[in-house]
Formats: sequence, C-alpha cells, structure tokens
Amino acid sequence: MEIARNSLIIATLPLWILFAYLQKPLIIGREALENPTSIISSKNALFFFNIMAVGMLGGYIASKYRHKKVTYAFIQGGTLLAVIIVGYVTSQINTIWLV
Amino acid sequence: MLHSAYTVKITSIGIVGLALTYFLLLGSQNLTFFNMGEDGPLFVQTAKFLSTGAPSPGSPLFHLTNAGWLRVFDFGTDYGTLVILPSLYSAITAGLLYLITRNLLAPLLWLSSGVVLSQSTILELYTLVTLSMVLAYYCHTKNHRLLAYFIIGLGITVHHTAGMGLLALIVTDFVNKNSIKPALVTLIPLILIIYVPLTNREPYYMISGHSTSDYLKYFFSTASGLLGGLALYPTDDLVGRIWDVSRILLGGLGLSILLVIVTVKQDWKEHLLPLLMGLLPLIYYSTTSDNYAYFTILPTFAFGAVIASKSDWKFVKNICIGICSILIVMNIFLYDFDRNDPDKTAVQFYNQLETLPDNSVLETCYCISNSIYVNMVYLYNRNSEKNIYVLDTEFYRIPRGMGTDGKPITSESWKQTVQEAEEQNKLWRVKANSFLKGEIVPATSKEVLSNYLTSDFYKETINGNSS
Repeated sequence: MEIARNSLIIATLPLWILFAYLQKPLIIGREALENPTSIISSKNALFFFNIMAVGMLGGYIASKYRHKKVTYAFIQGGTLLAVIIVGYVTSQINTIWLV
Repeated sequence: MLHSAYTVKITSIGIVGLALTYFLLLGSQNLTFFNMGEDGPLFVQTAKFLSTGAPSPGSPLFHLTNAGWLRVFDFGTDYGTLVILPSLYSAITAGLLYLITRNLLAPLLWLSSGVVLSQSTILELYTLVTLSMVLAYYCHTKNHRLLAYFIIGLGITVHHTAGMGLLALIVTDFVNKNSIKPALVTLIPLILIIYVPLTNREPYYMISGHSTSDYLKYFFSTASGLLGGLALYPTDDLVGRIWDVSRILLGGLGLSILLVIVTVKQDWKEHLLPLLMGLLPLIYYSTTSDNYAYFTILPTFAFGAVIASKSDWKFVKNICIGICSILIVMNIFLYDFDRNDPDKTAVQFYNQLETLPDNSVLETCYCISNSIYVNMVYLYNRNSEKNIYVLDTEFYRIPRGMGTDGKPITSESWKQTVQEAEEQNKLWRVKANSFLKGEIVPATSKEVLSNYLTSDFYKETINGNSS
C-alpha cells in the first residue's frame, strides 16, 4: 500500500512542472500581449521531468526489492527501457503539438 | 540549544543573501511591460516627486520607503535603484520563513514559485505586503500580539490586501479565546494615510480634487469588485478563473499542497492562523474581477509553505525539497522573457515621447494593460515638465475625467481636444499590434474617435456611469 501511494506521488511530479510551465504566460503578462509559445524552452523541462519521474519511480520500486537481485535487476532494466520509450514518445508529441 | 538557535539565525541570514542574489540576477533593470510591471513608472514618480499613487489605500509606507531609499542610494537609473527593494523584501520573507519553520522546504517553496519570482523582480509592492503578514504571524507565534497587530497595520498602509491578515489575526484570537482588544493597535500606523491628502496636488492624476467625494472614490472604488464576486459571471469567466487559480496554485506549491491538506487535517486549530492568512487572499483572487490580480496570492504561497513545512511526512517533504531546488535552478537558466532586451522594454516607448511636441495628444492602444503607457506619459511629463495628454480608457476612470492640466474633461471638450490636436499636427497614437514596442505614429481624429465612440465603456462614461 505504501509503495503504491509513494509511486503515485512520484508519478504526479511532471504535473507540478506542467502547471509551473502553464502559469508562466499569465504571471509574466505575455498571455495578454501575444502568443506565449515563444517563452523559454519549458517544454524541454516537461520532457526532462517525464523521464525523471519514470526513472525515480523505477528506482523507488526497485529499492524495495534490493535483497532479491534478479527482481531488482529486472525492474532497473525495465525502468531504463521505460525511460527510453517515454523519452521517444514525448519528444514526438512535443514536436507535433507544442512547436 | 543555544548553538542551535544561533545556527538557525545564521542560516536565515544566509538564505536572505542567497535569495537576494537570485532575485537580482533575474530582475528587470528598467521599466518593463513584463510581469505586469505597469505600476513601475507610477512608483518611480511617487518616489521622486512624493505624489499620490494607486489606490488603495495610497500605499504611503511603500512610497515613503522608496523615496527615502532613492535619496540615499543611486544604482544607475531611478528604476534600477528602486527595484532592489521588492527583491529585498522577498528575500527577507524567505529568511523569515526559515526562521519560523526551521525547515528548508519553506524558503525553497517561496523562492521556486513563478508568481513570487515575477513579483520580486519588478517594482511592485506585493512582496512588502507579504513580508508584513509573515512578520505579523511570526510575532503572533511568539506571543507578541500587540506587535503583530501593529505590523499588520503597517501592511495595510502598503495595500488593502493586508487587511485579510488582520481578519485572520482577529478570528484566531477569537477562536483561541484571547482578547481582541490589541487589534485596536492596528489603527496607529493608519495615520500614515495622511500622506494621501498631503501629496494630492496639481496636476491631479489619481484623485481629481480635494472634495470628500473625490477621496471616497479614491479609497473605495478599486475594492468594489470584491463585493459581487464578479469573476463568477458569466460562466466562461468562472471556468477561466478556476483554470487560472489551478495553474498558479499547482504550479507554485505543487505536491506540497498534499502536505498542507494532511497537516491541517491532523489539527486545524493549531494551524488556523497560517491557514486563514493563506486562504483569504486566495479567495480574494478567486472572486476579484481581474485575473491579472494573481499577485494578491503571494501570502498563499508563504503560508502554504509554513504549513507544509510542519508536516511530518518526510517522503513527500524530501521530494518537494528536491523539486523546488531543481525549479530554482531552472528559473535561473530558463526564466527569461526578454526583460532586458532594449527593443522590448517600456523604455523604448518612453524615449519616443521626447520626439513629440509640447501639448501633444496621444491615444494609447485600446487594449488590456495599457495603463503602463499612461503611467509612462505622466512620468515623462513630470521629468521633462512638458505636457502630453493621454487619451485612453484610464483617462475616463478618473472621476469626472480630469486632464493633466487639472481641467475637467467632458465628452464634448474631449472630442474638441482631439480635433484641435489633429489640426495642429499634434495628434498621435500607439500603433496597433505594437504593444511591446509601443510605436508612436501620427493619427487622425477619425481613427481615434472611432475607437471610443463605439465602445461600451465610452457610452457608459458619457452617461455618467463610469466605474
């Protein structure tokens, strides 16, 4: 139960960064002035945090199986694969939607 | 124990230093359109010439502090000298948050928030309001209740939103069965408001005269939006406001909101004061008519950070500390909005004013947030002793429409002013779609009048129903 709860908490981290990104056009006033897409490169930050959250999540779950070497290695390997997949997929979404 | 207290104080001072460096690094060096910095030219004006500022309640403490600072220090430009103060207030708040909580999470949450950063890097008063509320809270927790009320009184002389801190103190004392007589001390600092009539002189800007009616309008007109919960109507505004509140709150406090909920749920009475001090400004923003009044929720971040830091949920606290640290680093490298680009600051607009002949009439673009143009022109008039009329919606917000020369403006005389200016080749306007450059071009009376005669705002003004 605790592992599930903590995993869910880690999984929400990209949302924090997403909202931090979405608030900026409003708080610096660009939203009132012009199309805010030219603001910084926060989409890179979103991209980075998606990967980081997946990495953290895998690392956290793996740490709970540290004594079972095979399971531990399997989860770490799976995490690496998930990071690559999430990185690839979100990079495509960024290109299509946010540029 | 003694060593620990000493360490906490030293750490707090260190946080103030680091926070100040962080804000100065990202601060705007001159008058800017960004971060809703439209009050900047007004505050430069009040500091230099000790004139009345924006209501309410006239912010005497803020203006007097700025005026004193400007007369002692000089860091290049007037704006560059003054903009250090909001950064300093915010940095002290960060140090104070650590002193109160003895936990790094509180200052980190404060410093990483985009709203805090945006308001700490321009010439604005909201960081001083928040500092007064945090300081009042600190004094209250140390059982210096008289001092707490006195400080919140000082906060009210900066901006009326500090009044919500007063309400929070009174409610807390009432619930805890303490005497609320100390609240009377709040009245003492209010004597500073005498600054307003003393500095209200020609050419009138914010107040159109010295009658009781003029002052009542000045003190109470801006707060009128609070009464009706105007943001709730029509429905699309409600949806829009929910979206604005969500992204600002979740983007600033993020996961720590979870800590706040859990902590308050454990013992709401213990956290009643910080809860009210944070919640009331949030309700204020949620119901006020302008979605760009987001800066009123700065106390929400400060007191949200205080409550979150008191949580004993170490797992989430550690994650929050990590994310906040990363966000601060990201802000340093990514929070760039061309604030120092000379082509995209308000300075470019200001410099063009020098090319206009005396007694020119300038129509600023009929769009949102154009009060920076108005404030810039008034600052220019003050600095150069020239007289440039500004025509825009702001002009009619002044009761009875007083011009820069103090003469009342009626709709007919206003039209006449525009037409005469055209005949003398002194009619100008800010080119549409050039907000960031504020490009000034010659105009015709037809162009200028067509902007206003068809607008609801103008019609209401003619009918004498101007807000």
